[in-house]
Amino acid sequence: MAIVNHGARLTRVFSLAITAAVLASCNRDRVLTVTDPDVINPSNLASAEAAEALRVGAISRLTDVTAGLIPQGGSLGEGVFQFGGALADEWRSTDTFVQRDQTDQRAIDATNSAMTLIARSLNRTRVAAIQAIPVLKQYKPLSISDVGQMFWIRGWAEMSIAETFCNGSPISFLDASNAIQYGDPEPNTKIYERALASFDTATQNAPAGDARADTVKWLSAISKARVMLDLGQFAQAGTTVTAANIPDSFKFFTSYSQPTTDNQIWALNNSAGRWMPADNEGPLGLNIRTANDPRVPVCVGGQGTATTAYPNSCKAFDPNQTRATGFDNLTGSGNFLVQLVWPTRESDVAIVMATEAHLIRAEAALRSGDPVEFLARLNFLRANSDLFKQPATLCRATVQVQGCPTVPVGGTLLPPLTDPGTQAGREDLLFRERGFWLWSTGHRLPDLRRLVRPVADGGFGRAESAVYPTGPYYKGGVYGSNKSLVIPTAEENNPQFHGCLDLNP
Amino acid sequence: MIQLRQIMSFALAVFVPALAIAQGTTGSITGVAREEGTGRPLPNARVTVVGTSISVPTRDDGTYILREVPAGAREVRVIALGHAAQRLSVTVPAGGSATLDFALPQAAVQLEQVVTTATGQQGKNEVGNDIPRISASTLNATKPIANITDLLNARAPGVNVLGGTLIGTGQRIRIRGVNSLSLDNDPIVIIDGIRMTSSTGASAIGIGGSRPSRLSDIDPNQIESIEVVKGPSASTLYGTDAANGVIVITTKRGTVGHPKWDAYIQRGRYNDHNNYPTAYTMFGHSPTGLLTRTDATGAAACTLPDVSRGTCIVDSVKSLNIFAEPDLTPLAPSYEEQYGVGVSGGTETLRYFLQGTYSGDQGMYKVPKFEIDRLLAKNGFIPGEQLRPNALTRATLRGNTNIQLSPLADIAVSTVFISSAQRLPQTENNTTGLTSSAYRGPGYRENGFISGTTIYRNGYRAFTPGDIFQESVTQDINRFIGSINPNWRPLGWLSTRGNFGIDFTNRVDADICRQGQCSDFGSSRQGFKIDSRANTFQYTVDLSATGQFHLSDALSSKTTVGGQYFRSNFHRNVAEGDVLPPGGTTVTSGAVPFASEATTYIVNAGTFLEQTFSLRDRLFLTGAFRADNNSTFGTKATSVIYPKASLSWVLSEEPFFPKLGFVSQLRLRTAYGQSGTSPGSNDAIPFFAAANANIADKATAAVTFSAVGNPDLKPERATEVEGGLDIDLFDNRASITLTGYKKRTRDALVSRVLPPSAGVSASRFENIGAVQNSGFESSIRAQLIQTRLFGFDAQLNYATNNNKLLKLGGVPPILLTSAGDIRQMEGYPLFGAWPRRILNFNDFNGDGILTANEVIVSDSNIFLGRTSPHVELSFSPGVDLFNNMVRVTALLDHKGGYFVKNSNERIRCGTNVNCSGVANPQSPLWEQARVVALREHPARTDGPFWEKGDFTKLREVALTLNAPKSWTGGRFMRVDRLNVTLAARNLGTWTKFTGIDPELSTSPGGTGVDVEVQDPFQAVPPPRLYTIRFNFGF
Repeated sequence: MAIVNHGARLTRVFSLAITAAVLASCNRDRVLTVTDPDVINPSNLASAEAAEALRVGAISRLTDVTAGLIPQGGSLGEGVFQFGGALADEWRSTDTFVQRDQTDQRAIDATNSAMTLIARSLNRTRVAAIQAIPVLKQYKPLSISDVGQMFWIRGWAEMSIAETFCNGSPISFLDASNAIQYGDPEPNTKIYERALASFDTATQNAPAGDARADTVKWLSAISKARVMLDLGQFAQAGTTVTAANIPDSFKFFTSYSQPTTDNQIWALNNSAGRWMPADNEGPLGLNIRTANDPRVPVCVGGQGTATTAYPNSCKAFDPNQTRATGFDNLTGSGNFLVQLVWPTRESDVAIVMATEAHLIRAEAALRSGDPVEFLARLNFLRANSDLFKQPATLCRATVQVQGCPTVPVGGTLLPPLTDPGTQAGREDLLFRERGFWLWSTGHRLPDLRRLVRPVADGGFGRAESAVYPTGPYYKGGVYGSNKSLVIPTAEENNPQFHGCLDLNP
Repeated sequence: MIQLRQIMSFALAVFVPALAIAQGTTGSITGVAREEGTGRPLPNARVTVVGTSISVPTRDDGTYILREVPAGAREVRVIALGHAAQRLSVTVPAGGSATLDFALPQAAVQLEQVVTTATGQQGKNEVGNDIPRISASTLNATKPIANITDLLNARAPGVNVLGGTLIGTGQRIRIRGVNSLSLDNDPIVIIDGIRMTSSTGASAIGIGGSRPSRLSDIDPNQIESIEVVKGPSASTLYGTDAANGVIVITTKRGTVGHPKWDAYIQRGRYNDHNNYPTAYTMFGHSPTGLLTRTDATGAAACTLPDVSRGTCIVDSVKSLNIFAEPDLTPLAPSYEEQYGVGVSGGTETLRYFLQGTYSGDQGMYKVPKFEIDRLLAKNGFIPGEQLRPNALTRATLRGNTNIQLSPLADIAVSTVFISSAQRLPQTENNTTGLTSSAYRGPGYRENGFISGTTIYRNGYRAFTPGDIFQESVTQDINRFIGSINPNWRPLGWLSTRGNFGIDFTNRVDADICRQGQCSDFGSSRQGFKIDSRANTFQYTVDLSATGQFHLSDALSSKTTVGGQYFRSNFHRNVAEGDVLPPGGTTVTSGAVPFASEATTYIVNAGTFLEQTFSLRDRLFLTGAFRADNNSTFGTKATSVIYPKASLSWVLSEEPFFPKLGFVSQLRLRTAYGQSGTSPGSNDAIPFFAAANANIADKATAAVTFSAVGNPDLKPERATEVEGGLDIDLFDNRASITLTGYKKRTRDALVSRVLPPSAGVSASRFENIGAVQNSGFESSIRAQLIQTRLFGFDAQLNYATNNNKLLKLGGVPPILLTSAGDIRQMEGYPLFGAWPRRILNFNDFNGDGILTANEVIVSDSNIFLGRTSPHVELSFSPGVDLFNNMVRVTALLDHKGGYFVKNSNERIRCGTNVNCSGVANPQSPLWEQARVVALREHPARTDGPFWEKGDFTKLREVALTLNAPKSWTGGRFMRVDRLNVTLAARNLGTWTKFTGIDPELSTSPGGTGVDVEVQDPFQAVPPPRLYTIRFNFGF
């Protein structure tokens, strides 16, 4: 029989209770506080240096979404230049990833993860610019054009959202506490108006004498005129670029370096073979393989020496260029095209050029019934092709790096054009010229959309089958009917959003 | 300083009052524990004064001394493995000694009598949960065990283990299903009382899928036992992160007695026995000439639908199976070896265990003959690490000591140093990996030349093994795990316990392609070297105090209070040098340098209180709670409280229980408890990150917004109820354990997709989901026949798991793949398979070939089933012959009720046009149908490649020969004990799955669909392993 000592029992219980209380009273905040050096706290971004880092960050986002950047931890590195070009007739998927095949086939599923990334990256670019603006204003009050540059980037992202996606993209925002304020779906015309306003604000924030003022003005003028073309305001577009007095040498680049990241157009075509320049894809597709055009030089991968069948053999001038087929192995030997517009991993990509200003003026002239000025403007560009074409910094005749042809592919001369004689013929010529000058710079998809857009809406009213690739798709099945990217399913996490408003061009 | 003050406060709070009430006198109890019938002394049996913390192990000769026992009438309990427990009463004289001897009857089945819990070891009957125990030391000596996966796989019901596919790569362990949509579903691991780093995916360098596991660092030969704490009802007091269960590892320790030397030698051989897919190529021409469709080499090739349409007239069909061609196969027999020697023994005051082990494992990957010829001709030699690119060697030195400081205090010190070197081949989901070329080449050898040569690729799609294996990935580990476990029993009723320890891992990952070597892809042949150095620290501070006392003659109380602190630090630096000069092998020699740094800190702190009442030592009621906080919780989140309760009732000991002769014991039990899983280290906070920016050809500092964070973030909270019974039958010749459980995870963290228009991160964690797992587990062990010459025993484990996503918080269904064929959908299992399916197919025109109009595919994705097993069944029979001189065992394992995507065939048919269904005119219609759905049908869906994953495997067969006494007992080479085990693993698979192996999967570690959904994509299945092992005792 156990002896029970009630006093001792109480003491025991009391002592254990004290212990529990002591343990429970630990200063958990002190114990639990950790600081992770991998992240940058928003409170650290309150200085002129931080403002500059945010500005550069916005440009980095712009690089990401244009010519491409590998997202952190990601494997799909293309930007809207290649992805939109695939939906149009600029790029062909030579990949095994269904996301790229769908887009090339114009049969896009709204869950397409690569398309989702494009949508997200465009908005990240927009948000990065918006986040930089107040910090620049506060901590770099004398660098006003830096603010202007951010407004231009904001406008560029808004413009690209409208040019790339179906009607109905929401424009959401973050509030001061970084909480998401969900936007309502907006028709593209409204988003274009947003972009125009952004470009105007950019210009207003580019006072004469400021370091980046001219650049901001020229960027804004060209981009604003581009949006005006989207809205069918042809005359105003021509006036806008003319008034801006843009020098012919003007180009705005995204640049690459091996320690940061590779040019993704080069990486995904020349290196990895995931994409290949499309040749004669669709009724308006450029014949870039046979055109031998210095604006879009290409070579044939994996061929030992140049032959009649393969006039531009990559290996003839670059022994490292041994890729003979696309990543999917479906192109077959002798058919894999390698672009040489940006022939190295470090090739810079001009995303806005004075070239476009002349093309806009040519189009304005054409729409105003002045075919002479139209043709003269195009021929002015052709006569000065070395000035107006890409690239500007690498692979020029005087700068030879590995991967550049010792003899420029496609030659250097562009003979003058002659007037086709009909309005339709001139339009074809305009869009062919735009296709070559602006190849893979995000212009082709909006151009095809403008071509099939009703005249009443500022378009050219052409039939879809006369513009977009249709019929059998080379990997099997047939082309679908997408004329733009669709707003991805992920947007349904925005409670205001319920799908594209329509799929009109 | 704060922590030290708290520790002191704790000590004062506990011990001062305890000492103050120390009163009365004590005595001692001595005696011996023997086996009933034989009189054999029982060493290492646990002798405990019931209702106190006074407990000692028996010595080698079975004797024991219990000191400082409160005088008076006491009950003493003895438990020993393989024997029924025994309880006897004794009166302890004040200042004197009482004698109490025990004779424990043998239990035919190996009944565990104690289990390890968060508050220390407890009698099994006191705990309301089923906590199975795996006797690792026995398994190691008598089974083909190469790693810890082999120890765990199919040993306990409800524990699903998916092993790695490469030597040294990780395993996926899921206990009672998958709880979390977004977080790690791995159990935590406790080794000798402290938290251990056990991450899979522990490498900075990917090879295509599989990655090393830190759990695999532990040499199974040094493990005494593994206990599996299955769910929140049992794991509550282990704190946040224990919701997925706890693997409790206890390493070997010394026993009182003369020094005993033990040694073993194990040698094994891996032989590949798997069937690999044959590649087909159908050559033909169109009515007007060559086809435009080409295969990988540009040769004209056609598909079966081309033939049906008349666009291809077949000229010939070629086939090739690289793995069946002696000069082409990249696999060859390899070896496994294990050696160990150790000594243990000691006195009551000091017990020790010291063991050194070495193991070597070589994977089956090798450079095939045609490549050896090429490389020898080119270079004159092939480095060994390239010739056999997959291997793991590991040396381990363990020293465990138990010191009896006084009758009231002891301390256990456990230390282990592990040094391992591993190398891994390029393989799996990897363009330049072996299997990407070996599985996906054409049906003939003359498919173009190896880059830079005029030698055929011999059926390898793009790259050949000689070049592929020139990329060398290695991982070197130096790891120390040390723990100190002091126990102080200042009073008979009060015991205190501590676990302090550190698990430190230094990891060096390296990846090199020398200039001019490796697959000719991208810029690889320019050369590169990656050197990643990581240090991982896992600290444990665990303190508790337990008071036990009698409230009345019948009612006893046990109260435990404690606190724990866990801190995990991870630091990594990666340096990379690209474009190496000839001969350059260092980062420094690279022309283009890269560097990166990563750091993670996670801290968890908690306190707990547990109260147990026992009524007549047969009804145990336990209630407890734990208060936890964690550095990963949001700023608005407060401490979380996890409660638990359990009831265990040894019904058969109640007077009213009918005396049924065949029932030795019947116990009913039920338990309820909660636990949690914490989010990632930075999931709660908004932050910016440095960005790569090259502005005007100049690298420039930049920041971009990285994450919006979630200040409300808190842990997932899992609540579990389990109930069951344990029956021992026929004088312990059989035992049955039955358990049902229901586990609900609320506040489940959903990686909620953020709308692209927000322009922020792709997702953030929100506590909006709810998941339910329910199931049934049973384990039956029986000694069916036991005679001197022949014995037969068997164990049958059976478990089911039903998993359902109850709530997704109002967000749209989460599509985890582009095709939407793996989804998180309310009302359905997590990670469910939702493919588009073939509704019907019919060869209408009777030409033996299906085309698009002969296959009907569903218009939308349809739920097919689970992607993890619903049913698990394992059966392990054993036969003893000639008075236990010979023992033969086997292990059959069945898993069923789930689906696996045959992703190898998917890519072969869809991309490489080399599978049977696309290019073999003899292929059955069902094979053709899924090819048509993938390639020809407007749906372009790979959904039909989902297949039933059910399988039955003969995992193990083992024969153990125990040397007769006449050979041992010191007569031969002073050997005291000797046995030999011949064993084999992976002997056979029965399945309808048409891929290589239904259990095949990469093991990347981490979270999400890549881990939770088994994917055999371009993996090589485990081979058959034959081993011979000698165990010596001196």
